[in-house]
Amino acid sequence: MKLSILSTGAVIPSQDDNWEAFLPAVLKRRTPLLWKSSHVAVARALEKSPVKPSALVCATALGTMGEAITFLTKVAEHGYGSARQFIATVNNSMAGRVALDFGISGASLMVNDSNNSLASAVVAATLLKDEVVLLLLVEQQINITNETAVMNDSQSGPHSGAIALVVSKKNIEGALKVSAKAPKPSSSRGESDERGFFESAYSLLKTSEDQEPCVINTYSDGTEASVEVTL
Amino acid sequence: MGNSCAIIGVGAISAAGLNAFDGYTNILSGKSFLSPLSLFEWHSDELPLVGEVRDFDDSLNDSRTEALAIEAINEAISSVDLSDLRVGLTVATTLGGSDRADKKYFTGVEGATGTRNDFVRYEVGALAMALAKKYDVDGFHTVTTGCSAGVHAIGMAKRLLEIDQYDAVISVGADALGKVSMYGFDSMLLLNPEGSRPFDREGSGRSLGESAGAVLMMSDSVVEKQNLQALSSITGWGASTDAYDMISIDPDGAGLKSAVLEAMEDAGIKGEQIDWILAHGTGNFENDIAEITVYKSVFNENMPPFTSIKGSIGHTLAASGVLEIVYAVQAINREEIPDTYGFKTIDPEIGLAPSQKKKMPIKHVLKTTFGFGGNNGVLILSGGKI
Repeated sequence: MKLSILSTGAVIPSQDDNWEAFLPAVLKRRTPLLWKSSHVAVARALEKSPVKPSALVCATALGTMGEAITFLTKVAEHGYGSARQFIATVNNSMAGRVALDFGISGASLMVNDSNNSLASAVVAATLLKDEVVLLLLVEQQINITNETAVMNDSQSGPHSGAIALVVSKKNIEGALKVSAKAPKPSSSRGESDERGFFESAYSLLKTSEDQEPCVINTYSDGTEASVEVTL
Repeated sequence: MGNSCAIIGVGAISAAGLNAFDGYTNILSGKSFLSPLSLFEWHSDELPLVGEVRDFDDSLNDSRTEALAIEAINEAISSVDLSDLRVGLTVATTLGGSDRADKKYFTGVEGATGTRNDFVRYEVGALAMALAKKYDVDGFHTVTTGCSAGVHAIGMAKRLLEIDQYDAVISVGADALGKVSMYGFDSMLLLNPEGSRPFDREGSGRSLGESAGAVLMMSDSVVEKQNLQALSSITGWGASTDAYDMISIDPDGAGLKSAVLEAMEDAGIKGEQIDWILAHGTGNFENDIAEITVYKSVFNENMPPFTSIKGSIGHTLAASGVLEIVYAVQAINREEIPDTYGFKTIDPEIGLAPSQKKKMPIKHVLKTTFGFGGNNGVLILSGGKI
């Protein structure tokens, strides 16, 4: 199934020094970066969308791993963790926060398929009964250890941020259409496609802005997926 | 009647047993399978009771979660030849293979001896990638909506079969006990170290556990073509979000009620046709009260018996949705439902007691789940001729 892209919104912190100015006061202090970037990206996408989505699919690769590292390091050091930090370790917290902030009460799904998460999210959106779905693609590169930096090697594009798209199952004339093939085991090592999850999400954003059809292939640890954007 | 998908095989491993039949048999015995935490160190000498899987060797796998998942999947697919079929995989997990990183990286930060490969298991998607390659499936998805993820993994499988994306889908939910969840729920004062008591007036709090459940599903047409026998069918899926609070369930249960109604509509059945509710029933006061509020509102005077098995084996997070569907399949086929272990006294705010163990024919089961972020997932499991 092809989904029509109704609107997009994004926060790329490395390209937008002032993005936190758009946050509501309640999110400005002691709020995980993933929640904050998600909020601003979604606000920007909804502002431009002619229809409010009733459902939400959120995708990430590293997800809340950085929050989990912080939480567990404190457990190892002190024997206790912080309740506030624990909430932020839950992958679903980004979707829950966005649903709460923007009053989305239909289905919400969270998918984590490493570099192939973009394709997984697009397929998941087609499975919901809701006609208009908010796709939220969010990532936070973590540099707490060199080990994790290696995990998300990149060739181009940003590593962190949030990108939101409002998509519809209706065939909207003039709108770009996005479809995907689900992740599957790969028969060959597709090194040329081994971009990080957020880089592939960024490619989708640029394609949407430029109105240029493209195919985004992704690869992760012996698995592959693809997303196709057509006119 | 909506579309359905047939369950052809089931597998389960939990503190109650190393396979689906033994696990459910033991739960029917009315005992607790909780024991003091032994998998990792705790911050005090008073070890909380948890649902650890005993007598289980996880040493050959990348992580304990992966080992549990493989055990359940192998049981679920053991009697079917999948070689000529298009097979999908949906995986529900909360922590993925984090238990391996827990051991290596966080046993004391300065003493950590882990390698990159240990840490990679912390990336939640690594579990599904490993399983997808092992079982050579044609497509896969990882769902991480916390405690409702198992139900959504099965719901997504239902839709994938309905649109003919695959001939068969394996849904697996797996979570080993991990430090994030144990220390996390402890930090929120949500653990009952003496064992959870669902729907009871005393002792609010949950017990955590570990498990994996797996179901092999096929569309009705493939089942017929392959001349297979369905154990039961998934007939309805409902999904909603509270948009009320990040942690607490909406006390009115509006979101959960919406998901229950959606699942019944998907199954094409009415409230009076539900024979049994296999409840979420964590043992936390607020959750239990809100949950029963929803059932009263949906069923009125036709309230079916309701049960929670989390007092026996603990709450196994994302795995619980699939695991409990596996045990519900056992209940339908054996025509017997268990006690709610841990329940003793009616909570006046609930005003109802969960069902006692009894023999009864079961046609339709309502399975409910809800989790952090206000995420609700509901399934209808149906037995017999649909």
